Amino acid sequence: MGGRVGIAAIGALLALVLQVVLAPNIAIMGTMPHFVIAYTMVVSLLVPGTPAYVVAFCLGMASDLLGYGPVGALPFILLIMAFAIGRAESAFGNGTVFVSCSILVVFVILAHFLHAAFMVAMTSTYSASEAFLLIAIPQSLYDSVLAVIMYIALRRMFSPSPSPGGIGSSGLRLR
Amino acid sequence: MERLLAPRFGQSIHVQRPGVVLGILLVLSLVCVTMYAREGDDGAIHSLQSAVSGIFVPLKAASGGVSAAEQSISDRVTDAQADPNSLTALREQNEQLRQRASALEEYRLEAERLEGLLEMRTTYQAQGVPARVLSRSTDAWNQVVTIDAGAVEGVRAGLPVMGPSGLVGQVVSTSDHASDVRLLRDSSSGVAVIIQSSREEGIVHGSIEGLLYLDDISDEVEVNPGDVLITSGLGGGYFRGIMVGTVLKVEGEAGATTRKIIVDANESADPLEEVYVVTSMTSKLAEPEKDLNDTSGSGTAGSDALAGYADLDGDGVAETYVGGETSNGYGYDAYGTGAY
Repeated sequence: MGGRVGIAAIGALLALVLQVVLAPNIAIMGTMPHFVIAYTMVVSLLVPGTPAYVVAFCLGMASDLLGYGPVGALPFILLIMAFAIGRAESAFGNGTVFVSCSILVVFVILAHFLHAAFMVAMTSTYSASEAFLLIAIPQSLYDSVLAVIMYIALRRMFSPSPSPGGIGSSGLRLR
Repeated sequence: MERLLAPRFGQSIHVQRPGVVLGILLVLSLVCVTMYAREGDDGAIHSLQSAVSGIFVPLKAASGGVSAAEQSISDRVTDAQADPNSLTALREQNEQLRQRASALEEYRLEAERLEGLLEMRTTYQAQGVPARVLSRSTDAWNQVVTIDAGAVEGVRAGLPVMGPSGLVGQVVSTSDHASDVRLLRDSSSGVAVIIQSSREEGIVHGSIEGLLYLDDISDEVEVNPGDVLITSGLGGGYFRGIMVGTVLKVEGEAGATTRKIIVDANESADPLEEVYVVTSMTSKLAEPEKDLNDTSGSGTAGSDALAGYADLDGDGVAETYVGGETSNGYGYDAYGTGAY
């Protein structure tokens, strides 16, 4: 477990660095990826529970402190999403990549929509239609792709090591 | 990681009580949001936000480096595509020459931009601090750039920032050697302007899609594409007479309440690389214009309209916006005096 938590922590730092250094440079038509949201959702799916909550809080807080929005909004949303995605995975997940990725995509989109709703509610700067159409939808699509790639890349790293002599494979199951 | 949060409970919390951790963190988040919403710009969380932004300046500078590298790779790919049959004996020499030419072109463009800044500085008789843009904002909600001049160089929050052709934004926070500049096209930016030809006043504000709109101008006023907009100086956030942009498109006729006036921003043509933070202006342009309609001899043209704009809570009392402080309750600072 400790190893998985360590990987999650290192990944969180990396996600933050990528958000600052890389994200502004890989924007597509003004749509910037949100590594923080994508990574938190992936970690919540792979290591549900306390590690996911801590990652969600720390990354969300760091992201808010780096920007100019209401501080505390993103960690609040990420915590709720981290809790919900863990529950969804235990309810609907059957160990296949397809189902996990579907859950991931749904929650990435939900996280962006909740964030947009928070921004609209907390600051009267943005109109709801603009916030959803111009930021939440394109960004959630971008992040969905990013999160699926992250999930497939990190799945093996976060999978519990097989017990000595145990039978099983940590390979991908598509269905 | 969980040990940091629950040193006394150790593994037991991690295994048995993730709900407690979740609850504590949710409450912490809500406390932060509430504090942020209630405190002013000088509050603890706002200050922490500025400080963290300052700490991350080296990383942001790295972002600028990545951007340059990306541009270089893009150029090379374009070059390779443009000249696929260049496998000749002169390839190496050609490459060297190309690199040199590219570097010289870069210097030429930089000199051109700096010349523009210098010319602008002379035109406006502006005193201030030149700076380079280090990086752009890390989220899609803000149009903020980080520049490499800060409090030590004399930059402070609220100062206007100009590009080669006029106003581009306003300093919102500073650290020792870097500052964050909110661009005009940010949806929370706003600046009081006058149309140079008709002397009519209005407010130019940014939007989430990155366009600038001219609002709060009388429906009857004729506005045409190409009209030049300059800062009116009202509100205290900007010096008077700085060029803000030109009217790009007018959707709707004069007299229509739904008329939309789109403004071409100064910094929209090229990516912003060098800017000039204006600390003072001695130009005649910067002096307040005498109100021709004001028989009492006090005030400036259109100030009533602006006061009416600020009276949004319907109490009949115009919220004041003097000396960089606003209380207009509009969400964004309509007079360009900083973040909401």
